[in-house]
Amino acid sequence: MRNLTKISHALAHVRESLVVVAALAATACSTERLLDAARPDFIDPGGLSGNLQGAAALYAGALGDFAVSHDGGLGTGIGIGLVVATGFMSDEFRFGGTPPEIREMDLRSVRESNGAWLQTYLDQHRTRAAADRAAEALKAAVTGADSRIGEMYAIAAAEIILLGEAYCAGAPLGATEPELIYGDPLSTQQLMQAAIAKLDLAAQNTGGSARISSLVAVLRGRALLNNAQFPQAAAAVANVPTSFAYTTLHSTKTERQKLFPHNYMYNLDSWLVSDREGGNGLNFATAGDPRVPIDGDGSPSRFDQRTPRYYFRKYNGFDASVTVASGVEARLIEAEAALQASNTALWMTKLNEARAPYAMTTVTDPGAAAARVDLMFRERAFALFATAHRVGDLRRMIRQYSRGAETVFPTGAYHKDNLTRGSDVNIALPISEKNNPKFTGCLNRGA
Amino acid sequence: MMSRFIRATSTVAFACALASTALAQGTTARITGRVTDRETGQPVDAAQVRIDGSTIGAITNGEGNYSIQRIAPGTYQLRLVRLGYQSMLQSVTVRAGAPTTANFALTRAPYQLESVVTTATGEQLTRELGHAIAHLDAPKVVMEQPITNFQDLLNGRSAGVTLIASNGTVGGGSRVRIRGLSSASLSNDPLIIVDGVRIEQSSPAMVGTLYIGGGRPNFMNNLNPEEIENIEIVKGPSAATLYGTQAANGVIVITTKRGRTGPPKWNTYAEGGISKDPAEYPSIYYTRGAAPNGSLRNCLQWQAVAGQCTIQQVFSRNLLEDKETSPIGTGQRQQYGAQVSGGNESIRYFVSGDWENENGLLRMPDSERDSLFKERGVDHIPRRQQIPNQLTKTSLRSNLGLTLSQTSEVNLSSGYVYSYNLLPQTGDNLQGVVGSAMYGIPNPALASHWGFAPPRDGFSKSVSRVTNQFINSGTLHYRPQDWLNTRATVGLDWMQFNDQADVANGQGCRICGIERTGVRTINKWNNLKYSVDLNASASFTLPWYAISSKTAVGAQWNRDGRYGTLNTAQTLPPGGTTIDAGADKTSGEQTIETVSYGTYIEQQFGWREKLYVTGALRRDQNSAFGGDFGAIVYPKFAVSYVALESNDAPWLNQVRLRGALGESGQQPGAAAAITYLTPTTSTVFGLGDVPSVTFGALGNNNIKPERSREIEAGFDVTTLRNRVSVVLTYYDKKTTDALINRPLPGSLGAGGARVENVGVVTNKGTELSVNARVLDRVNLRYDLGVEASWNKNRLEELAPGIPPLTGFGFQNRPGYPLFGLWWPKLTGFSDANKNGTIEPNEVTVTDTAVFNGSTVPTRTITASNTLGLFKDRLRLSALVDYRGGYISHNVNNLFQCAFVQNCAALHVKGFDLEEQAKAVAGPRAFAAYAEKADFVKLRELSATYQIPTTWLSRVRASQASLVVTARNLVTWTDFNSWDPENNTSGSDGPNYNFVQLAQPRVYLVRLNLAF
Repeated sequence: MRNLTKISHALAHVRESLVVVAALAATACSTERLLDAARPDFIDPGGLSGNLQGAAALYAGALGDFAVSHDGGLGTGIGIGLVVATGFMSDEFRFGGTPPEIREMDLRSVRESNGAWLQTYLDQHRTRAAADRAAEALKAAVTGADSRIGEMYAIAAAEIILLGEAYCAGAPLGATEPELIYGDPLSTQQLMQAAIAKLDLAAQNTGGSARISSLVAVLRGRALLNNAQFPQAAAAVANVPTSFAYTTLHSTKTERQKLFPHNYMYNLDSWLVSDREGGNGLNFATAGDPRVPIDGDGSPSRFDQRTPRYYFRKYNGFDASVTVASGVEARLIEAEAALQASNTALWMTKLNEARAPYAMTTVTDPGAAAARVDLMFRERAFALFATAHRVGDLRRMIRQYSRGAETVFPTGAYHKDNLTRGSDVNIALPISEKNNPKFTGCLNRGA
Repeated sequence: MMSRFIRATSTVAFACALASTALAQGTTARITGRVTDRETGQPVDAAQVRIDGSTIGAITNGEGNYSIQRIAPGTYQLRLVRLGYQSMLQSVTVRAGAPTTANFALTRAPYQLESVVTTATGEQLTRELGHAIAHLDAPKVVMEQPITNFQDLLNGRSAGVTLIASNGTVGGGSRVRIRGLSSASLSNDPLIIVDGVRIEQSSPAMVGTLYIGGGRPNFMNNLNPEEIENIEIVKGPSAATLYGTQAANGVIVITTKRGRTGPPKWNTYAEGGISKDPAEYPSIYYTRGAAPNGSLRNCLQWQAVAGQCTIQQVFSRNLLEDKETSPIGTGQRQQYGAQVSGGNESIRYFVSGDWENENGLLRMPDSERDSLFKERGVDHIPRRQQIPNQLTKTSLRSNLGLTLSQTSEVNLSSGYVYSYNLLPQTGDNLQGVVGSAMYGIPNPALASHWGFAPPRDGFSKSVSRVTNQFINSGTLHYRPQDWLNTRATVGLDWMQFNDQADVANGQGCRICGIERTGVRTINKWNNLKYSVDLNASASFTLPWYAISSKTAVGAQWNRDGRYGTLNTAQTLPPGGTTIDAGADKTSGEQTIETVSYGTYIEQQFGWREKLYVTGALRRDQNSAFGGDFGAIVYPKFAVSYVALESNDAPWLNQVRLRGALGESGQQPGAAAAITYLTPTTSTVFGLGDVPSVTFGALGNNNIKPERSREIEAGFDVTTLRNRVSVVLTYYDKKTTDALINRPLPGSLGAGGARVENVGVVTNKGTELSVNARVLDRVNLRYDLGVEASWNKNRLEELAPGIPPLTGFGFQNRPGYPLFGLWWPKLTGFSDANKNGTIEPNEVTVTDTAVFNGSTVPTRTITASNTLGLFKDRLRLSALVDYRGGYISHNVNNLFQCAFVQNCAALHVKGFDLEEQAKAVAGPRAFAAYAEKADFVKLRELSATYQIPTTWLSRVRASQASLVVTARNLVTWTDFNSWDPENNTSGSDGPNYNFVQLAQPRVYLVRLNLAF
């Protein structure tokens, strides 16, 4: 105890020093230093401007963003992706899971407040903005031609096309740089025109790359097709080789890079290939078409125990790729233009050129006009399966071929939960878009 | 300008403190004395003796002695405060160089309004405060009630303090909400301070491979209730102004036990018990029927009525109630601890050690274990898979009080906790065992009747948290003048915790991604919270009209940091258990830092110890504020008036009126002000995986803290010779500049949201505390305590142009409470064709989501009853807890009826029509299962027997008690599932009650021995 008392005496001498230090701490330090907080997780955007490494990082990031928004996955949140969402909305895929918000897409009854869908919409615009940002950074950093610049503009254009195809009319295109710029609601036609304007920029910056030139051409053809400019669409894709393919790329390196549909399908039984869904749907699961290779035997989903299990074999891996634009699509665009021009011979030729890579037997002209349209869109449906084309095509069937919505989209009783499908032919723009003072809602919900 | 003023004032105060040291020597005296019980003459320990109108005082030791050093000559009023006794005021005259003696003989009084509480400026008498402050006598509660963690200690003991549980698993934490929800986007957690140090309570979300189905542990439960001396709850901004920009949700001030002068005093305890599941689970059904084409199918009653199928046979099972299959068993708990305290005038110590172990209710059923033996070809499975919910905790504490001189003292406080918490798979989770049992199909043709993952698979995944936490602080009290007290506290809450997930190759859930190929996650977090708290208080009694003056200035600096390295490996080889073994590895790093610096000045005037008027200002700067926003100043004004004080009066003994107006705030997120990019990896054609950046978030350079202004008013009364006390408080809290995670229009390309100061939230309510000694006889004593509160929470407005904020089942919409439940609802049903079966066309539902009710209780009443028998040798107590005025979304039944369609309402002919209607409407109207969740729980029941001292001589103990307690014994509710308290997500929104384990019934026996 005596020792403890000695210690306490010694501590007494420390006392005044402590008070002095404390007083100094309270008064002498500058508040700037007192408030200094580390933020190593964040990169200052200004630090990347004007140098090639920074521009390259922005370019690569935009490609990663595009893969997330197109195919789904982990961006700033987990977005379902356009490939999955449009697969549900159309006759490509059935929902074998239970979360009700995702089921709304399969039911063709998506509320504007549906949170499950919101993330993908955000991811699309983030990608568009990221691609524009990367294009500008590359232009400032490189001295000569660089195909990456064209590729970035093409990616931005692809997002605009997908906005027009998947959503109701009215999606705005805003920006945050140099300041917040709220966009006006745009009709589907205006969106396609905006995409084409981006593609014009892309075409000027392909850097001589055949791959990027083909990408620009197919996207241009797709936009023109949406605007019913069939001859121009065919002309746009004429030089694209049938063997061409531009894909999103995935990897198992990070969670963000993994192909989301693979997990959603093979591991979770939630995204399952449809077969004659809702009466009007095509027989994707049972057709035996080599363009839609199938795994699974139709036994019930392990998740909801009701939806038949058919998996799309092309996505059997976290590092599988998803086609965005291809030479096959180019041939199909040409074919449709020929059909529009009543050039059935050319139509048949182009359709069969599109089947050639799969070593398929040729198709023959069914003769009747309606059957020809059916065949045209069936060929597109199988060739472009699970690539976010189908909703756009079904809408075009309504808009350009005067089909009734309930004759092309899955309709009637849902396959589970005592529910009946709704009448949506597109996805409602999310309620959060109403924070844009120029936006009040969809311009219309029609095709 | 204000900053300079406060800084200058602080400097002057400390300079005065130093300069006056020498002057003070040799001109003072000390006051000593002894405090005894007037009735028995026994010494009274822990009595607080204070010089009235000042911050100078002392606490009696075990012999009832006290000593106040270094008092200037003069005449003083000494005030003595002790729980269970009337407070006393005694005049003493101090002469220079001569010791003064002042003894007290205290009169017992069941209830006293007077107590000494710890405030931001130091210890104060409650009579000086304009606001109510709740005080918990922790040692008494811990010793006699079924307290298994810190949150049990808080639950139901103070009006306005609500705990919202996620589930009943061991280690599953609750959210603490004080006076409602204030923030739509920020944390609504209160600030926790232990011995002057701010500590961490919020856990990172358990997501990805760490997902456990909702909920998360709360670090608050790392605190060992056995080590706590008292808890004070500062409920709102009117009281918490001086705590600044993290205090808008209230402050919980915890003081750990201290040593007092005297010989070593040992307290030991041993506790053991079991826990049981109180839930009754519904059966699951399958009806085998024939479709018109003859094929077999599940055939619901309404489908049969509609001619879609013909019923053949109904099958049912209950996997959770069947002993052969149920994974729910009996939990066990044991706890042992020892504490010693004592010391002399120079050094006082408190040292404690505690070990506890608890196994939850879940265990691998024998049948499932046998299946695993076969599947794996082994005869043993790891214990963590057999008992997937465990907690082991070791707590050590050493508190030292050092008297450096007559004028200075240092308190060193050091606590250490190690805990290992194995968290089970429950809740909203494919691997959740309750869900797997509830959502299976009892079709005899199926090999397994479990849905999703059966226990053998779900339990094969282990998620655990290992925590090491040091909470250290040192406080120097220095009184250079008898009128000047200074205090400097420096502290650090250092916590390292590892969140881990393990699934061996070939084990685990079969429909949960690639987990069955093996998973190893280890996220290592370091959490550091630095606190520096400086204060100087000057007290004077002015020569006019008996006016006292107390001036306090102070500064606080807090740095909060969380630093994590996150690693996950997937696809492990057989036998592989490390990150290295994974074929697919991902890693990451996270740093979150915020720093705040605040200064304050408070001036209080008192008049004749009856009237106290206080005004204060606090100025804060914070690293998370926007660059265009400087500092914020919070004002405070309070009045307290002791209108009556007459301990001997037969009817009215004390009346105090009080009112306070104050502000405090809530800081934005660490990065809310800045626009940034985040690094990531992307795959590029021809290059493979390359480094890249992606847009992170759009910052808001104008961001400032949420500002909550609260006015509260009330009164404290004791009557009937202090046998009844009543404390009533009304509060009105308005949060302006509410930080809302404002959704951005996606078309900007800037992500989903940006935090902006665009909302107004109000909370209004009343709190009532009543304590009464109903019976007071030698052999029979009955105490009744009631804590009641009412709260009305509203989002009053959002800035123009902002649509309602929506999420999964909730909306934050002006005019409605925050995080209310919004889903389409069932509006009516009718068995129109009178066939006893409700068909889908016989129900009506709303097309859109509508408001269904608050998800947070708006009314709480807790009644504690204590019966003392045989001179209080045997005490029986019961705590009954009521919560009402809210709804819980019964997704247990919604999922069963609407999605899996295996509930009785769809399969049993003649079932209750309303339940049938809910079942068939459920797929379209989720709110068909939004149910009134009001409940009454017999929360605690205990019997404490004080063992006669004559029996203790053999073990040389001085005191002993044997306690038998139980927790969560009975629940009375109309809620149509097993526990209306459960809230699966463990967050303010979304709210739903989904296949979580109920709060368990706990039965404990405890022996307390003192030497």
